[in-house]
Amino acid sequence: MKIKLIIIASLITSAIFAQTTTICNYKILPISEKYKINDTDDELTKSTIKMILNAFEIAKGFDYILKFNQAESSSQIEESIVNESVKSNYLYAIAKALIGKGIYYQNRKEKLVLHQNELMGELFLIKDTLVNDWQIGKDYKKIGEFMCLKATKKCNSCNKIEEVWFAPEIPVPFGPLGYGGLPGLIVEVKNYSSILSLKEITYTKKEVKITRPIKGKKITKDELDEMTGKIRDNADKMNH
Amino acid sequence: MKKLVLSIVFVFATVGFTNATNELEKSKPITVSCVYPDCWAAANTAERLHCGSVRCDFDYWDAVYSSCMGYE
Repeated sequence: MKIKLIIIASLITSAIFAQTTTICNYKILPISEKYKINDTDDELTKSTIKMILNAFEIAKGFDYILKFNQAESSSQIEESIVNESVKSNYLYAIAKALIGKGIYYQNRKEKLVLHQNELMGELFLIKDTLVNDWQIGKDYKKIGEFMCLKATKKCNSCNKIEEVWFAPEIPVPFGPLGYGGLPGLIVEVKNYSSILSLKEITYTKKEVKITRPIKGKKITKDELDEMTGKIRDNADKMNH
Repeated sequence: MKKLVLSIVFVFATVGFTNATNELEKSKPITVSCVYPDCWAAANTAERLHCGSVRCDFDYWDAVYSSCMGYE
């Protein structure tokens, strides 16, 4: 019954989103139990946990912005409002990586996801496909003002089950961090050690430019996985 | 007398230089390399804590490794 109500609500609200640009602000919440220091931990582990917790303190202050219209979306950390003293902190890059670095672009018609990201000092433009390969379960919960459904899928390259919550009330296949393809906006992403959750949503009739990234070495997701695997192999060899 | 004056000037100059060097040391930002002499081990440990094993999140590993190397 609940799911039927959600579907009806989505049909009513779909007209609202037809001609507007929507701007979503997401915030990161660390899963704190993952970072508990035990007496038995070695010094490297203890200091690394402290470092990650400090990076989280920086990341909690970030605004992660997703902008979309009916056709396309882009999402990234809003770096223009980050204080210069924060940017000069050596933990800044780590804090960004805790959420997700780079610019994500999604195009509904082309079923395309682009990720412009700097890795090992080089700029890449990583191409992926915007498809619905999710398993939608029966779990639902209210996040903010939206009733959301849970969706999961297995990530082969990262060997984990990915979990997101989406709102059929907002019938666009977009989400933050390149996640998408679902019949509703993704409002929450459960990451390894954190949750990225929608905190604020605004609608505007004004034209908001959604820029498609073009710079960077063009590479597919599979090619990137192969390349990073080799980089790790070399790093491991050099350090053994 | 001349030697005495020169000795006093030398002592003051040395103390001044040492203090200035110490102040410079104090004002240096705390860097990853101060904490982790081994960036590779630090990045692997951070990644294991972050996502449960090594090689599970290259982006994160690269961020820790690059930050560490960049400040060495």
